[in-house]
Parts: sequence; C-alpha cells; structure tokens
Amino acid sequence: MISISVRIHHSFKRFLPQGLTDHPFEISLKSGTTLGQMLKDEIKFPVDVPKVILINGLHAQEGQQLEDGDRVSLFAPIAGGQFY
Amino acid sequence: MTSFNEDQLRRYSRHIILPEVGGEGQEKLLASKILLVGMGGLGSPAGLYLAAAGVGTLGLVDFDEVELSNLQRQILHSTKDLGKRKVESARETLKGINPDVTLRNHDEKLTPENIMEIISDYDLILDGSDNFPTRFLLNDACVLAGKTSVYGAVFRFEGQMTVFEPHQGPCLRCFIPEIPPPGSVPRCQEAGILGVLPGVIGTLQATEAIKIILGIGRPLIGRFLVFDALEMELSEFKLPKNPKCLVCGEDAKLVDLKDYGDFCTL
Repeated sequence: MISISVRIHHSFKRFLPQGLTDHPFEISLKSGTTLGQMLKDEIKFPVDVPKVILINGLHAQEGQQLEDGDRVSLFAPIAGGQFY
Repeated sequence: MTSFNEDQLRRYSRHIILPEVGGEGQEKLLASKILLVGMGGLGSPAGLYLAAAGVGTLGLVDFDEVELSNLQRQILHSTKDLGKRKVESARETLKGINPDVTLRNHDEKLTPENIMEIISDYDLILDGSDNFPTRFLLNDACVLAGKTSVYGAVFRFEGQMTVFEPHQGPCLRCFIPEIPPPGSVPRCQEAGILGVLPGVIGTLQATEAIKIILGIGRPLIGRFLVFDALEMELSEFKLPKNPKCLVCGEDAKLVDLKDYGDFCTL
C-alpha cells in the first residue's frame, strides 16, 4: 500500500470525498495506482471538470503512477473575467 | 544620485524612512518602468498603489471601454467615465494620484505581432488580464524576452497569485502546459466575482512588483498562493520549474509566438 496526501483547493472543495470537510487528507492506495484511477475511483472527481493537477508541485498526467508519499494538489484553472 | 525636490521628499517620506527602502530605493522606484496588462479588477488597485509609490513609468494596456458592470470592482474608473476608453480613464485617475508618474497608453490588443515590442521597454510586467489566450501569450513572450511577470487571477471567491521569473523559477506552462479549451471554464460574467477580491490580489501583485524593483524580501518565485475569501484562508504551495516545460524547460521548443486562439478581450 502507498499513502498519498491530497489538497483540493477552494472552488474544488465541493468535490471533497464524502465525509470530509477540509484538506489536505491522506488516502491509502494499492501500489501501482495511477493518478487518474485515484481521481476516478477513490475521490470520484468529475472527469469533465477542467483542473490543474500537480504531483509534488509538478504538472501531472492522469496516467502517471503514484508513489508513496506523493503530494497531489488540485485547483481550478482561472483566468479572470473573460475566459473566451 | 537624483535629488528629490521638497514635495517628493514629503510625498515619499514614509518610504524613505524605511531602512529597506530609503532614498536609494525610492530612486529605484522613480527610475522603474512597469507594464500593467489590463485596466480592470486587478490592474486598478495595482495601478493605484504603483502610481502612489512613485513608479516612474507605468504602461497601461487595455482596448476596452468602461461599462457600468465594471464599476463594482474596477476602482480606477468612476461613473463619470462610462463609455470612455479604459486606458484614458485610468490615465486621468493615476495622473491625479501622482503627477511624477509618466503614463504610456497602449490602447490595443496584445498580439503575437506586437507584444515583444510593447514589453521590451519595461522592467517588469504585471499580468492583470482576464483570459487564457492573453495570459499564455504574455507568459511565452516574457520567457522569450527574459522579463519578470507578476501573475494574478480571480474568480468568484478565489484568487491565485505568483511571480514568474524566467530561468530562475517556473512559468505558467510549467503547471498548465496548454491553454484550457474554449468553453471548458466558466466566465466571471456567468459565475460572478466578489468585487473586493481583485482588490486583494491586485494589491498583493503590486506588493511583489515593488519588492522586486527594490530587490528586498523573498519574492513569490516558485510559490503559488491561493486565496479563499469565503474561508479567509491563504494557502501556498511550492511550484518547481518543470524540466519538460515547452517554453522554459530543458528542451524548450517555443521559439516563435504563433497561435493563441481568439482574443475576445484583454
């Protein structure tokens, strides 16, 4: 098993897993779990919501395998008044 | 060494008596040139404080007019300014704050064709734009030109801020490699924004800009702030440089500014 620390920032707090009200929270996963699997199966984060995902501060791909002790941060990409 | 006249000594006295600023620091501010991109929610407080601080030259970029819906947060503009070009309205307000400041209007869209020339004459860029194509264009141009940019963004009750220092820290593309697709993120006009929020973030941007010009303190390079107004919580996380970044990474491929999608406004 591996332990991952997850931070879900402000506007994404509505997507915190049920029963949690704040972040960061720790999550235990099977070795070999990818970021995408964690988001979909454990956190149940909606697939279609645009998001910036960092692992240990670096831009991450959903196919990336998580390592014990990784810090995952999720926040909304915001630009301001006029997006397009 | 510049000699301050009596008015300047009095105007900047609260800076000059700070050991970290002093007369030398105030001279640096008076000699500095900062480009403000966007005369809206973020550019308003930033512009007011930078002008008051005695930043010698402020470039003002916007190509929009003042609308009634702007006035809930864009404090450079007043009811009497409705319908005016934003750069004109901003210039009048800033000139009233401090006649020492030279104001240059850039009443035009930033485009791949004009941006390198516009930013070339400034020491620092303050990004108060309101859409991703402009932010990415500005980011890429600043990396290519080696210009520091102070980034701020606001939406609903959330603000984000950081400093991009080319070759020393990450750039925007280190953590958002590509422009999010059109329509994938809502607009302020659809989701709203707490009027005071850009005041908080724009003021933090001005603070960082002044620190960088003065060379004091620890700039927000490689650190990303997220401000949550509802929770009154300011969180920070480290943002390392991404070695695979398309623009500033080890094998950076961007050599030219090309396609940034549609620019509907700043």
